[in-house]
Amino acid sequence: MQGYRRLCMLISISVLLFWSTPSRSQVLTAEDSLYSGLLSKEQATVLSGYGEAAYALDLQKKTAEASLRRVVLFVGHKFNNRISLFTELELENALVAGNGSDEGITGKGGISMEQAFLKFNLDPTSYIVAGLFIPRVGFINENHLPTTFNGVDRPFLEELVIPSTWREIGVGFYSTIKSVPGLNYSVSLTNGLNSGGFTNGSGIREGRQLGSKAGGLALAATGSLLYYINDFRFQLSAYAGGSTAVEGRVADSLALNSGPFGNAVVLGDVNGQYIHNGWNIRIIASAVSIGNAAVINKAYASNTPELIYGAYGEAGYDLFYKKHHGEKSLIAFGRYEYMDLSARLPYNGIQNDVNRKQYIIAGLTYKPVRGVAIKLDYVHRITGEPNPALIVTPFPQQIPYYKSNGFLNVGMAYNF
Amino acid sequence: MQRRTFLRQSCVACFGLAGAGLLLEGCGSALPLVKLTPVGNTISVPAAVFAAQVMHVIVRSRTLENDILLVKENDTTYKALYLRCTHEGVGLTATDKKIFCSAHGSIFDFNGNVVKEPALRPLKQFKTSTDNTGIIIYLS
Repeated sequence: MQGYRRLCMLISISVLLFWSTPSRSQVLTAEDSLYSGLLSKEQATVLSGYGEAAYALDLQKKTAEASLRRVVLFVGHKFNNRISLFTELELENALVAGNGSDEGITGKGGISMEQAFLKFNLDPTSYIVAGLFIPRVGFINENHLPTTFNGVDRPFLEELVIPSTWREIGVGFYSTIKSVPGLNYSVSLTNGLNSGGFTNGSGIREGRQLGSKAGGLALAATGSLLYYINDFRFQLSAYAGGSTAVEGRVADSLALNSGPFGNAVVLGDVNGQYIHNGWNIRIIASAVSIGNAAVINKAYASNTPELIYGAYGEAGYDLFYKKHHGEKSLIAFGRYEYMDLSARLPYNGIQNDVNRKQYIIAGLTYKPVRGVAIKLDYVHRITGEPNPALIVTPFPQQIPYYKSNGFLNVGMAYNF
Repeated sequence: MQRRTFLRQSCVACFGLAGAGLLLEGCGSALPLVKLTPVGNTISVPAAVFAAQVMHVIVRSRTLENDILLVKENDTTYKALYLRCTHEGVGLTATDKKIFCSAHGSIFDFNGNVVKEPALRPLKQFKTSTDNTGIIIYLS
């Protein structure tokens, strides 16, 4: 009994100390900190973040996967009214551990920097970023917070055609056209892709260098126009860059063009969004051209296509909108995606109809408060027939492939 | 030939972006912008900037990192919204319908309230008052 009282007293004192300690008063809110921009608070540091977890049930294979997909910690610091630092550290799939760790299992996760850049304000509507940053392409690449899109998974097009989240090292300039209210533009120069990583079926995704010792002389230019008018948002963006990430001598031996725009990849997208009275409708189309795919195939035997394209349309309606005006929401949505990840092949490419994909998605997003989302959806995936010539695992070890398959997903997401 | 193809595709992309920009030039008129210097902790905005039908004026000052959107509610009531996104502090784009963040897609209304995430908090508002000459914005 005496021990219980002591424990209670200790807990009470700890709680009091916690609430009264000066360090608590140093915790900054977004309103008071990096974002306030007032002269009296020229320097400030702020913490923020987001994360998501998901349970995905494969209805044909009769298996499921549960994972803490990502936890991202944002740390920003304002040096003065002109210069700020933005960083995002991401842990994917919860555990990064080797055999010798105390956890007893090998982790399947990864750690990466999603962003780490300095922002230099030129005037209230123009700024330069330098470091590891995310160029403006598509919807999700820049706007990938899980509470801002419907569906447990990100739209598949914006992972397989536009390889979100796509960040590289470079410099970007963002501004507005002053004579047209609502018209923004951006231009950036970053390191290029690594064609040695291109993998058939995942577009250029595996060719991203993500600021991790990006090799070669390849450079990439990205430009975008983003226009807000009434309840619409329209965006046009283009990327063009080299994809040779090896030194000139090695490139020559592989017959790859080297130099800043050698073995160029060109990506373009056009998208639009309408938001009004609880409705949220978005459409996007994107295409990737790899002109030198035949040479890349000769060098790396990767079955790289010359052309990839896709599009999707999504409509969502907030069933709570009339009562809560977005403060609390229950969004019912549907999305249709189509993509062809080997729409045109070079002479040395091998067709695989699995790369022609359709996704039909329907689900609900419940947000009890802004910044928190509970998601439920059903994904139906339809693809073409796998090319038997590309199946290297003999029967019976060969894993069955279902051209028509359904997935039931449940997830939670937060952003603060 | 491949280099030519690349140049052609890049040029099409560049001209496409530039052409779209030029087309949009004709789509709207800019919100009026006034550049003013604060006196102490206040900015005095001449009433004349609110000409007939003008309901929104952007106020810019060298001493502030971002602009202020002055919203006319009636002849004696104005709202002064700080055009800085409460998500990651990016400068906002004001139109005559809503206020947008080009970086991550947040949208705010003219009360400063969040219409669309990722921003979670309303925009900072400065107090205002009116006198014979115009509108006074109190910066603190």
